[in-house]
Amino acid sequence: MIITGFTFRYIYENRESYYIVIRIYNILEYCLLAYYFSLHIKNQVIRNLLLYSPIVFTTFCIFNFINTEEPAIPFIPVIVEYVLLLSFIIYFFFEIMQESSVVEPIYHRVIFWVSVAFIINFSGNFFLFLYSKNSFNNEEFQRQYTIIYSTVTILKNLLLCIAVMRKENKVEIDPLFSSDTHEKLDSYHPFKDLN
Amino acid sequence: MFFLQTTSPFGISPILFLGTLGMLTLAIAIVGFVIFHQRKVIRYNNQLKKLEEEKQQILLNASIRFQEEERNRIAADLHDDAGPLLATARLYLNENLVNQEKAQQLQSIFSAKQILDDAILLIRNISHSLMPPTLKNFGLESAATDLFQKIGASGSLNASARFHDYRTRLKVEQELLVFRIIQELVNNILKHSNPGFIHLTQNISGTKMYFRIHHDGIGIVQADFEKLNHSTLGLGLKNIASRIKVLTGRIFFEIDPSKTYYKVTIEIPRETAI
Repeated sequence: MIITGFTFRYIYENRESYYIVIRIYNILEYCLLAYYFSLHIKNQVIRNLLLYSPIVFTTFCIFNFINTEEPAIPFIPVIVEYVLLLSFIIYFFFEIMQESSVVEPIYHRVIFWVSVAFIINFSGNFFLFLYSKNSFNNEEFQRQYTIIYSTVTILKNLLLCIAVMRKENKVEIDPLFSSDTHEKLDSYHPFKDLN
Repeated sequence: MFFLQTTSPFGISPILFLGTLGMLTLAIAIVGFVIFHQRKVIRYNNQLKKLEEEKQQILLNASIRFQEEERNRIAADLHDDAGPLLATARLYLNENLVNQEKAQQLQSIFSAKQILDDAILLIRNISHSLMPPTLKNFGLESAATDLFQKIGASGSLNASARFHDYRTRLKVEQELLVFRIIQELVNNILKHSNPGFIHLTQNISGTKMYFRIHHDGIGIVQADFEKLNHSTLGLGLKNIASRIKVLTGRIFFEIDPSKTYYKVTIEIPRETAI
């Protein structure tokens, strides 16, 4: 813990390294969350989009890093990440609403609390980051930034704690006559001989 | 005035504060809406479950009624047919028989023997209707094939059965239940559908066994089956449903995409006889 503390202190004091760490964290956060939500979204197209979007996002982040003249907090990649993940979470909720055979309430599932944690985090910080793009050098703004960012982060972490503490009951639903048995059972074609 | 202030009471710019609050409200509203919608779906599902329970009650009542009817039929058969036969045989074999002439004695014994043979045949028929001997001795495949052969032999329609994979027999109780379901379905088809052909196929897939009846008569689809199951009509269908429930299986009524014939598929878990 002491080593980690010193490392973070060094990184924080060395602003350039700090911004690079934020960029790496940004990419990792997107990749992990995209993968996590891909495990829970049923639509194959959206799932593939989630699985392959980290490649595009990483490329975009690298491109943004190369094109940034002065080292600074990467607000644009963060905003892009938030917009993308917010869209996927809202789509996930849409899929949940489409389910007709609900076995248990959604708030009994881990994914719900993870989704709520991140939707609160992303929406709470979204406006802040949009605003930060031009005013981050203002000291008064930095104080306000810290208040809002910390509050939203605490809220997110509390919700993630609930997610971690949840125990899930897995229910498997067997589809009706979904096997290839149809073919075998239909081996008798009553009008085959007549034609 | 509030919007003109440079900072809010929390020391945060009002635009930033309201923007963040607006976004958070929007997010919470989405989550709230999802939960509210799901609660509605759960309430609806619970209502469906309640209806399903009511349906089960109707099935149970139908099953009990069917059992009573079956008992009454057996009682009537025994009372009206076997009873008089045995009573007549007893008349022939009364105490006066010893005082009669030898020729008359022989005649009485012969008549009594014939009546007893009839009684034996009658009791055997009743017993066979309760448990077909082919099913008991040779299994479901033979019993079903036999049933379809008998129907086909009438010459009025084309009937056949084909078992693709029945190397391992089901448990005796399962075989009997499946046979009764097939019998009931065939009876219904013959009674109400006026088919030109009726055909049975069987196959297995994983841990499940499937039976399918094809016929070109006037059939029903799943919606009709569910409707009849919920109504007070269709005792035979209710019996099928309750037997399917005992087998922990499923049944599906459908019309072929070509709209030329109907299909009834039964799915049951495989529990092989040891």
